[in-house]
Amino acid sequence: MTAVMKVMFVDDSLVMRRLLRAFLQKWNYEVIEATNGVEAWEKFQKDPAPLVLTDWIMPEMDGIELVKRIRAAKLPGYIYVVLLTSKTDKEDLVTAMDAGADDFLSKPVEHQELRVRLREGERIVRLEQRLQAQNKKLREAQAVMVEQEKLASLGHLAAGMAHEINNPIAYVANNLVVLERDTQALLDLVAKYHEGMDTLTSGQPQLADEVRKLEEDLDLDWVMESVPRLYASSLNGLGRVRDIVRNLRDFSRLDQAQFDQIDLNAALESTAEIIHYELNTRQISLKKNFGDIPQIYCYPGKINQMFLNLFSNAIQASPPGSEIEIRTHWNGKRVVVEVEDHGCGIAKENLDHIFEPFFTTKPVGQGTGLGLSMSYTTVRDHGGTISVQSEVGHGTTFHIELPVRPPSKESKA
Amino acid sequence: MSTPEKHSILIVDDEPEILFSLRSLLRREFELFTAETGMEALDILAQHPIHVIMTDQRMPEMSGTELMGRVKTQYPDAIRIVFTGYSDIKAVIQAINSGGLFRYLTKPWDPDDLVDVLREAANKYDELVERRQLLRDTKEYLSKEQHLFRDMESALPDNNVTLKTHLEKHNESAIKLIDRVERLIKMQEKENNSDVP
Repeated sequence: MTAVMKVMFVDDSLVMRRLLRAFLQKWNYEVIEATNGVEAWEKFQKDPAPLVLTDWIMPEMDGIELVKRIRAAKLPGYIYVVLLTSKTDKEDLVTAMDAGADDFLSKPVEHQELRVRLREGERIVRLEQRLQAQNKKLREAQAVMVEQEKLASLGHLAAGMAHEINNPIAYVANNLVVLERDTQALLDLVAKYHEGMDTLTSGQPQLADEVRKLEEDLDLDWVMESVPRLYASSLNGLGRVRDIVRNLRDFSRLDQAQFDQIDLNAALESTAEIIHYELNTRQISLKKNFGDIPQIYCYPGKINQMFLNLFSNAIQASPPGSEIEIRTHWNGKRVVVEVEDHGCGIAKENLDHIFEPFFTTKPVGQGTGLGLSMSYTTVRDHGGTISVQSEVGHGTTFHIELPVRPPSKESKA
Repeated sequence: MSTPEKHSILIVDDEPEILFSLRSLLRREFELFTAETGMEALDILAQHPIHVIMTDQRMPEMSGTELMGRVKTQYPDAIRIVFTGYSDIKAVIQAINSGGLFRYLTKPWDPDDLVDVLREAANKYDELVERRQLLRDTKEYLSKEQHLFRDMESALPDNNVTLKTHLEKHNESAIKLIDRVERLIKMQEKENNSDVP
């Protein structure tokens, strides 16, 4: 860290300024000068310097007031303030410290001592800057971890639910099949009885009338036609529930969180099923153009999550009536997947940033800005590439390439 | 399915609704027994001849594969099938590979598939019983033949060399065949008694 540090130097004495300016420049500081507190404060607000060297007694605004204002401003980085003073009274010095000064130097200033004190201040400022940078990195890493934890626990939930749902689906479907079979048998029985109606009418006319009335109330003909259809429709509905559950389970793939070989087309198909409802509600159509591709070795959970994220983004961007297309093909070396939407597009100035963590164009509270950055990490860890083409007002295409096998099995995707 | 007697099937699941549902589905074609726990299942096995046993994998106290392990040693003739949710599949694969299971079925199952599998299982039972009986019958027949050849050989006058030689050869063949049949019988028994983890 050899960046030149800025020093703001405030003193109403022209002589002092000339003298110390020379030294400061010789010591390689970038000097910003002011002749009094007001001027200093103005300049400081426009361009804050991390080191401030100021006289105490000055017209307009004195050093103490300047220090107080600097401290009250609560700037993100630390400002190291050294007061120059001819005061030697201990009480005054305490006042200075209380106001927030870090150090003070007695006038006349001995330049070697000034140099040492400034260097100390510089060191403190740099240490604090480093600390801030590290904290920022830690916070970001933590946020990513929390997001991943959330997704993982959602996956757990989905897998657990899937298991719970399977039993009732199993016996309801089974019961329907049994009911269908037995109802049909009952209806056949009724039809058989019906053959004897003539005999019944002549032998027991009253009973025959009662039977006919029951048949009418029941609308036997309608029942015989509708019953098979009701069963078929119910079984169909259950089948859909079962498929949704299976999709969720396949998607979360908790039981196969490790490395595995998958058919990417099938995985994309099943991930697309998950957004089926969203597509319908928003009247967006989905076109799938699946080419002949080999199976790939990957972490299926992460890959599925990545594609779900891309599909969600595409849906969010697309207006009703538009189409989203998913294409896959083999380019001879890698599997290529493209997700194209005809939505609002991404502004040119944002294109370079979309894979950065926490970058989002959504309003506060909506989305974490981590989806694309996690997708980027996933693709990278698999030894693949992800890129984007977009035009505002026309749409966006995400282009992902994945090798059949990631470069090293220890990749921590 | 025109066998005069219905095959007996024991279904084990900790969810009573599933048992009732399956009983309704299968009652016409099979003689149904149901149990909610592994222990109950073993009780039933002790009292009735069971041809096919089908169990859920996830049960409290005794899991499906554990139950099957015991069934294999104690009632090796019963054809064994396990139901499983996807997440249990590793345990089931292990059970299949260690030689215990005829099939596994996933939940939820297709009722038509289920009936097909049970019919196959019942046929398998018949086949195994028939095979064992066939082996025993064959061994018995061959033993009798062998004795017959020996008796005939000793009954012949010594100078009837050709016939004597023939009989001796037949005797030897019979002994060899008996050996082979015995080995086959032993193999079957060993398969039934092998340890299931």
